[in-house]
Amino acid sequence: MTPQHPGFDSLTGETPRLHALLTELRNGCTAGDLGRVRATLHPEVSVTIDDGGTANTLPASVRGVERAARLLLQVIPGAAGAVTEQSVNGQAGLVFHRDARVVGVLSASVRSGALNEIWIVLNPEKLRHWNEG
Amino acid sequence: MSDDLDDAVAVFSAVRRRLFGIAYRMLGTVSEAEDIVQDVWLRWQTYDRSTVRDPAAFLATATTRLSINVLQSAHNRRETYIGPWLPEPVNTSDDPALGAERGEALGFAMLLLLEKLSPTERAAYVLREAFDYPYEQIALIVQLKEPATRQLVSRARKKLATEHRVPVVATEQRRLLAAFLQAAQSGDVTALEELFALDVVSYSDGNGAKLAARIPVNGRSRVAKFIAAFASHFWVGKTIDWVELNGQHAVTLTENGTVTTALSMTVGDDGIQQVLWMMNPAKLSRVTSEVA
Repeated sequence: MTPQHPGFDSLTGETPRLHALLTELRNGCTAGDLGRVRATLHPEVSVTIDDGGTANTLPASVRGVERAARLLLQVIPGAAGAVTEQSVNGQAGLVFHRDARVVGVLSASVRSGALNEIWIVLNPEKLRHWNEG
Repeated sequence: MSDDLDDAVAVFSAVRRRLFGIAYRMLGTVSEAEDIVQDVWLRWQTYDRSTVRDPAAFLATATTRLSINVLQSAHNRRETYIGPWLPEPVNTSDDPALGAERGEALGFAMLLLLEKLSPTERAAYVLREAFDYPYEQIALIVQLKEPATRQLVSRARKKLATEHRVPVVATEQRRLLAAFLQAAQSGDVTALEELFALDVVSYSDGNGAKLAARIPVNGRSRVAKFIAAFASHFWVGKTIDWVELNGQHAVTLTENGTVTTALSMTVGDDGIQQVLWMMNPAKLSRVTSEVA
C-alpha cells in the first residue's frame, strides 16, 4: 500500500503469515481437526459467506472463534486435494474444487498474526469465470 | 478503412487489461467489468477516432464514466441481493497485474471499503492509487477542477482510514455499556475515566428536554465529571432495560411507564468513544415501539 495509510498494510498486504495461516487452515480442515482450525483464528474473527442465496442452510456471517471454526470446518472441503492455494485478488487465498470445478473461493485478512476477516464466495454466478477456459 | 480498423483493434488491445482493471476496481464484479469493456470497445469502433489525440486517455475516461453510471444503479441492486454481498473474486495466479501499475485496491478488504465511497470518489481514488494517474487527468475524467479532484481523493482516503478502524465485537460493547451504567449510577469519576477513550464525546439529543445537555461534552475527564455530577438524581425512579438499537446494544430508561431516555454508545479499541443520550420525545416514540 501507499505510505499515506500504513494502517492498511496488515489488512491488504500480501504477507507470508497469511500464506502460512491458510495452509494450516486447509490442513486443519482436511484432518477434520477443530482445534487446528481454531488455532489459526483471531479472537474477533468474522466469517462472511456470499452464496447469493443458493446455500441457505449456512449462516451468512458469524463472529467469534468457536462459531467461525465450526462454520469453516463445514464449508471448506475436507477431501484430500479438494482445496488449493492460489492467488486471489492479489493475495494468498484458497480455492475449493469438486468434480473438476471451482465451487468456492476464500480470501482473508490478517490481524495480530491470526486470520481476522474471512470471506468466502460460493455463489456459482460469481465463480463462473474460474470455470472458463 | 480496414487498416484503420486494424489500428483501432491494436490501440484497444494495448489498453484492454487496464480498462478491465479500472472497471473491476470500480464495481468489484468481473461480469459487469467485462460488459463495460465490451461497451467501450463498441463505442471505440464507431467513434470518429481521427478526433482523438490520446486514445489511451479517451478509453480510460469512457470506462471510468460508464463504471460510475453502473455503480450508481448497482447500489440498488446490492440492496436486494440475498445475503451478504462480496466482490467477485479474480484469479490473480493467471493474471498477476490485472491492468494496474500497482496491485492496489484489489484485495477483498479494500474492495469492500471502496463500497463506502460515492461513485465519483471511488473513481478518483482508484485512478490515483491503483493507476497513478496525474490529478490533472483525473480531473478531466471525473469532470471537476483539479483542486476539487485533489480534495475528492483526500476525502476518500480519510473515509477509508476511518472505516478501517476495526469494529469492536458486540460482546465488548455490551461489557463497556454495563460497566458504564454501574460507574455512572454510583458517580464514580475514576471508574468512568477508565472506560473512556481520551477524546470521548457525550452527545444529548433532548430537543430542550429537562436534564439534557444542550451542547456536546468533550474529553475523558470532563465527560466523567459531567456524568458523575448528575448521578445522585438522574437515575432515581428509572428502570433500565437492555434493547437493540440499529443492531447495537443499548439501554432504555423508563419512568412511570414511559421511555424517557435511550442510551447507546460507540466503542473502539481505546474504550468508549461516544456516549449518546437520546431524550427527544419525538424520536423516542420509535424506540418505545421497538422495545415493545
